Amino acid sequence: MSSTARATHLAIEGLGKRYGAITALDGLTLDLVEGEFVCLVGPSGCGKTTALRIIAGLDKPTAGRVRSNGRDLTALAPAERGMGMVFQSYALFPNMTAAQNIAFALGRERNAKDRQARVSELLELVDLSQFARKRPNELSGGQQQRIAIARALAREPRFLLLDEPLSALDPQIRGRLRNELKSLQRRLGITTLMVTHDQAEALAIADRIAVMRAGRLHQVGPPREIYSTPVDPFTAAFVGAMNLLPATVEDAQTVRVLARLPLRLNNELPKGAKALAAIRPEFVDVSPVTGPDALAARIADREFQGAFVRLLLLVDGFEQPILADVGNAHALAGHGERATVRIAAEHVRLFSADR
Amino acid sequence: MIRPRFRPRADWLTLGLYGGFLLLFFVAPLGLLAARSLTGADGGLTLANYAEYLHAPDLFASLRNTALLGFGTVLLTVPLAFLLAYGIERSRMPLRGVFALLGAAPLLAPSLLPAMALVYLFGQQGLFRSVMGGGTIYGAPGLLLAETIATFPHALVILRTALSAADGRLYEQANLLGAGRWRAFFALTLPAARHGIVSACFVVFSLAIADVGAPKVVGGNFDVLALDIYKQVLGQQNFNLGAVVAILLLAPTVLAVLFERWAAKRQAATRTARATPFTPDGNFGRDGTLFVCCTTIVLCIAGILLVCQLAAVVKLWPYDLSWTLDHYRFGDFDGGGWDAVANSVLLAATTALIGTAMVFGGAYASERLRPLRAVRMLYSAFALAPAAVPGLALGLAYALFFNDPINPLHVIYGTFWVLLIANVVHFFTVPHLTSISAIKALDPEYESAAAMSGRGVFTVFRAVAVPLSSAALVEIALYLFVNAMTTVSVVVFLYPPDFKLAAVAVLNMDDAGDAAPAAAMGMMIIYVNFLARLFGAAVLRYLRRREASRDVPLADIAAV
Repeated sequence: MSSTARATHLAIEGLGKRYGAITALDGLTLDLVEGEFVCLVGPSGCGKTTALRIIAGLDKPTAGRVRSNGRDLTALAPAERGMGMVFQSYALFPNMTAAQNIAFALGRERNAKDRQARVSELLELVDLSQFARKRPNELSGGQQQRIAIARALAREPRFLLLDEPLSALDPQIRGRLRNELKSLQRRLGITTLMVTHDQAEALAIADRIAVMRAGRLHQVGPPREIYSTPVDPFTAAFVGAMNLLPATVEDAQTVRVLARLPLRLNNELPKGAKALAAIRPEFVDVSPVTGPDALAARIADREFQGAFVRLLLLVDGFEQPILADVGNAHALAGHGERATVRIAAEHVRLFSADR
Repeated sequence: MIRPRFRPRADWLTLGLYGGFLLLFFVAPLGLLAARSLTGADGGLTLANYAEYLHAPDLFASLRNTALLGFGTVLLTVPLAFLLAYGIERSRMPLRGVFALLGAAPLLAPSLLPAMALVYLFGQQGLFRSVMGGGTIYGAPGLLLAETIATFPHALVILRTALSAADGRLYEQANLLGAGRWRAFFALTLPAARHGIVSACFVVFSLAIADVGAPKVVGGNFDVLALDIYKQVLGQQNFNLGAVVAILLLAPTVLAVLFERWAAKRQAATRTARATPFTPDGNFGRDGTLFVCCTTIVLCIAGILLVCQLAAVVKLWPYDLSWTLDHYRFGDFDGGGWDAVANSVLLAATTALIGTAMVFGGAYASERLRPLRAVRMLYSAFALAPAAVPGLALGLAYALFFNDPINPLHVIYGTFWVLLIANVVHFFTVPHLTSISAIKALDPEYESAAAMSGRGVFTVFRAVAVPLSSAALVEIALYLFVNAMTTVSVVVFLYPPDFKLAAVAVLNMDDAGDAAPAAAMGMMIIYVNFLARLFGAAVLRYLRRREASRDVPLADIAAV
């Protein structure tokens, strides 16, 4: 999908939230185009749920605006914004049946017959028609989630807001429900903003990812771009596994990693500056053979991950291990004490260590 | 058609109403009470009342006696209640359910009743007066025993809660480590329950020193502060001096409530969500010993109540034990007749209904409508404060405040309404705490989920919070009903001549020497309360059954 061709659908402009001296959210700016699935991802306490609640109208921002197609939504009540929300706990009413929970969202505006028809339609949409009369405690976690989605969709919202909708589920079914969620969203074509602390989930489900930390937005982009070209060490380390190795800038073309290994890297950092060389474990090249362009290391530990083996390598004189992922057939996957590590410059991203 | 855009700010509206209510019916009357204690005969500001009271030779005795009574009751009640609570919660002795029921029975009676029973047993015409030798039950011994029985169920409830929350894993671990039963008791059970024990001590202490019923019946020459207030106001008509004593009594109860709250919070904090329930194993020696001890305790309590019932249905206790219902002709005695019972039921039922709605509504507003933190803390402080004010002090404050013709609210003085408000305010705290814990158990996002659908907090309150808290609401209503039925202290200065109340009638008839009808009416109060409890249990059963029924027609969506 080419995002740039479509018009901005939801515009979040400089959203801020302060509680006294504490800044929970600091100038969040983000545009969503029609029909896309954006994940707001970050460690707990980074302000992502605060942002979602403000966008929904459940909390008031201390700065910034939320607009949709040019209309300012900031002062509107939650129900007037055309948004549906699924809460982390689902917030289903335990004293009501699945059908009643959905009907609750329809309000009193429609007559009973219309309400009934709409409830049946929604139950069908989430494939739970036969569970209409069940109470939440008689439904599985996944079924509860779908009822919560049906309730969020009841008023035909233009935006769907999801607050950690998968975190309450068992890991085994989380993957399946992630796909169901994504396909439902595609089918409806509804613009969706989801908050999650799980970067793997975000990579798997989102059209675009917005990485947040300490109330600030660090990077926005498609999952691939976030993974391959992170803009700072935080994003690099937060999304996927990443080695951040201390390095020193020698000149505009050369840096020296771990005080030993010279790498040809074009950079704009001043000479002698401290830097961090970031490389994914799958791009770290390990072999039993020594060479001049390589670091000698001891294999401290192996973690069998199923599809691959993660090696923990200790370079002499450095405490921080280097992670390297190797295939199960690799020479070092099963045994061996010593290894040499090579790092290809094209897979390395260099960050200034001063920040 | 343009629909009105007016949306009441539910939080400020509700909390404003509650703030106004508490100012008017709690802060202002107590403020006046304090002011009156500092008002001289000429109307000027003075400490003369305090000086007068402090110079009276009896005062020191009253202070000392009150302290003795408080500490003595704690020393007697708490260990006995702990024993019974331990037997119920931590053993497999038989009849635990019966013990729990009988141990809680004095809760249903006015505090006068145990005192009257003691007189029947050990008084001048008592069945066992010989036991007393040359001594008398009137005074310290009788009062101490009466308060022990009256406060026993309060301690029992707290200690049962503290002992029921055992973490089974800890006992398994202790067993694996080779610790014996006594070791486990001193290393695990006692420390886990210690805040509950402290909490029980303070509750018993403040109940014992604030009670006026038992001292009136069996106190003899053993004057206590609570009785001093009663005498100053109703005997001497000296309201200012009564106010002085009320303020003096307020100080220790405020302290006791502060400590009790601290201990109860610590006790609640010891519970962890991951605890596994503890099931005691059978142990013949332990269970047998506990069974004997617990049987003795509940037989004493049951015996006390039985004596009252017996005395009520015999001609002249203990000389003529032939059966009669004459003492139930309440109209023949100076108490208020059967009307007093009807009045009490009306007052208790209204207190239960209005009180439950008010307390739960206030707790909901303060917890869920996201008011300012300061507002919420202020509300919580106000809601906890009534527990620290003895009923006599509140009653006297109301009498002073609403009897003042300058007060526009003077119109409610001497009416049903002032009794109702006094009861609701006096018993506010425990229902408030019950409400808070019921509300805290609700998912915090209900209001947000409703707001996303354009449904207001009133809808969530009505359609979700109230149905989900129905068990707590029934419990609160029962608490209010039972307490409003049994209280003397709150209403004794407030009830009008044409609206006599059963508990006060017990006091007055006993005072007039009509001990048997007094006992008969006291037992009536117990039976009414017992019926109320049965009714409450039936309501709960009905609600649970309705909750469990799966057959909800789809058409029911019209109801939400």
